[in-house]
Amino acid sequence: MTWYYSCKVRPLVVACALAGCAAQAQADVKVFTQALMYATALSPEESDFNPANALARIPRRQANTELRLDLAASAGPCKASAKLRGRYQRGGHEESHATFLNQGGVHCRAAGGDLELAAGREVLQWGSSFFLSPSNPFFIDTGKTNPIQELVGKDMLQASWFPDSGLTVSAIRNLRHSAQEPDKANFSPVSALRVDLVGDGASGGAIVSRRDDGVRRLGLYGTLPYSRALLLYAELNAGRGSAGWYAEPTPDSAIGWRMARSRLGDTGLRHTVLAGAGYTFESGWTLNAEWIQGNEGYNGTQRAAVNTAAAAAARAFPSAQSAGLLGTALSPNLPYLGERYLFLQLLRTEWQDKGDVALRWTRSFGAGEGTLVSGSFTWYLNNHSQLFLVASHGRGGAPSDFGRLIRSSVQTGVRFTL
Amino acid sequence: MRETGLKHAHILLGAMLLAAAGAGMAAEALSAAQVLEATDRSRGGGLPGVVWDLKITGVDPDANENVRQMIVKADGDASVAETYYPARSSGGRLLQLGRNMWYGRPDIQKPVSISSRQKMMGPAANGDIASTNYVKEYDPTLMPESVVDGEPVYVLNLVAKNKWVTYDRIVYYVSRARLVPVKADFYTVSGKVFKTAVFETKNILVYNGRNYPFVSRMVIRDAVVDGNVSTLEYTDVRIQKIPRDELTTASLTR
Repeated sequence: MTWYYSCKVRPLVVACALAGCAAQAQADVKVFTQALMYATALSPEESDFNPANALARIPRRQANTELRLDLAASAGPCKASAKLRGRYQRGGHEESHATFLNQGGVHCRAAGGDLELAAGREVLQWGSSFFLSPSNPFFIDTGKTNPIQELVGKDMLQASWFPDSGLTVSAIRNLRHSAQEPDKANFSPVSALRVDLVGDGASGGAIVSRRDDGVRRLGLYGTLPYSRALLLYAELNAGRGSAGWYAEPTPDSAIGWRMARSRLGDTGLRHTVLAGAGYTFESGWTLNAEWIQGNEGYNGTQRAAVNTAAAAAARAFPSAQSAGLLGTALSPNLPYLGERYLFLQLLRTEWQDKGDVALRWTRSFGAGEGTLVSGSFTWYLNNHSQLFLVASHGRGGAPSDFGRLIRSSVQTGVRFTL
Repeated sequence: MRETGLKHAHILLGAMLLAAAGAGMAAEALSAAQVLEATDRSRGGGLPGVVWDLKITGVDPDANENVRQMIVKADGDASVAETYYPARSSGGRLLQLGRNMWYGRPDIQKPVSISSRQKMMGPAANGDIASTNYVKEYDPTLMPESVVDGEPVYVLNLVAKNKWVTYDRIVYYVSRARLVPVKADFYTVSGKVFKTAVFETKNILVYNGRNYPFVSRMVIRDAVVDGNVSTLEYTDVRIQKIPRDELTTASLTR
């Protein structure tokens, strides 16, 4: 019928092999291929967390080439997919390359379609938020604030039951992270039970989860289309314990501080609330506003302790102990660093059929006050190619949420879709 | 691989097949709701699994042309439309479940919740792309009958039951003999016509052993901006069971 559905023999064989169904001549196969070439200019922040940029060693210039090949096949009750990635990166005097499976696996329906069993590498997302997804114990990052970068999949087992058309009940077990996981040290497998509801006038759900390290959470999410132009949405996360890293004074150590996971067994209630709205104007522009408030980040005292610890470690840098402390302080395994945030996004897709525009403004209030301004712009060159530009600038300096590593960045390149 | 139930036919054949039934129903003095229900079927509403190809051509006053092609799968008031042209938008999917709408694409890892006003699929409104369930979304009343292009028509005044449907009010002209839409005027809440549409119904859908006419072309003209025209062409319409997992948000990013 079209190129999109009429891929020929080789992709069919590859995809069907993944599904264990190579003999299925009736398999419906889809192939989606993208190539991206882009360059990135970065302004590293020489903060206490990254003294003289000697810890993170962020290159000022970087060039990337990526090939993204998505294969999907269905045969009988099963569907298989594979999102294969090939990446070459050159930054400063260093080169790296990798090929990997970012997402993929097999889904099979049973019991007349009322049951689905799935195994594979997934990026599970739900809800309507852009800034972050507090109810999601697997991926708090939505991947929405940078249209170029992908979230890294995690290996999951899922059993889903569809008792009726609007209700899904899923048991999910997250087994392990992939080799590309950016924060391997803080990974802990998660078990969860999720109920997802889609009613005639609203959608939402609940998820109870437990990390193997003992942290438990209840997440709630919901979206209400209030009118043809206005969406209201919210997420809530609440539970006991935190797997985050906190600075503690240790007078007997050379630095005088250490980072510790000292709140794992906390019995106090930890929570995050996100309230959001999206309004589409007659002109086609959509404004999203999200307010996030909670106590799963650092409070003022805890943040001051981390900043003091980082300053002490920076003075002792490059000792191994100081590098370890700073590395942990940069990845403290918290859903966010502060206590209150406001996120605004102005979005226009297919503007004059020439491109997409997204402007974002994020403000962190309280300790670590700062602002991040970013924008992404896409210009359609033709039916296959797009130019893109993604830029961001953080204000507030090193003590803020947005100036610990990078002050500003610009990414520009071309995306080619076959 | 595809269902073979659909047969394209000339409008005259469809008219002949349906004239008797239509005349019989008309003789029973159909209510506004009955007229609307029959009309919805010709636009995918209320059918248990129907699939069609849709080509949307948008032309603006400067004669710039924007073409989008997609496959639409509808089941009751749930539908998913998947773009396959142009390539840069391929795999883009608009999912509608009741009044909930999401947009997803293989390269977007989180589906986006959208309002019915937010356009993600080219020049047409989301409500025009999905299957039509006016009987569920609008309160119909019969107005004095009229004639459009020589054809006697019912004139229905449709008033939105709620504030999230695509249009506040529609005046819908339905062929008296064929029970298919021939024309529509779309009104703003302030009572001004802002779009008009004309329909052709050359597709025939075979369902439960009966032939049903199905819209083949819908031309929407902007009543405010002269020269702003969207043409929706429906082809390859067929009855097909839609697997439940295709009408979920999880399917949007696979």
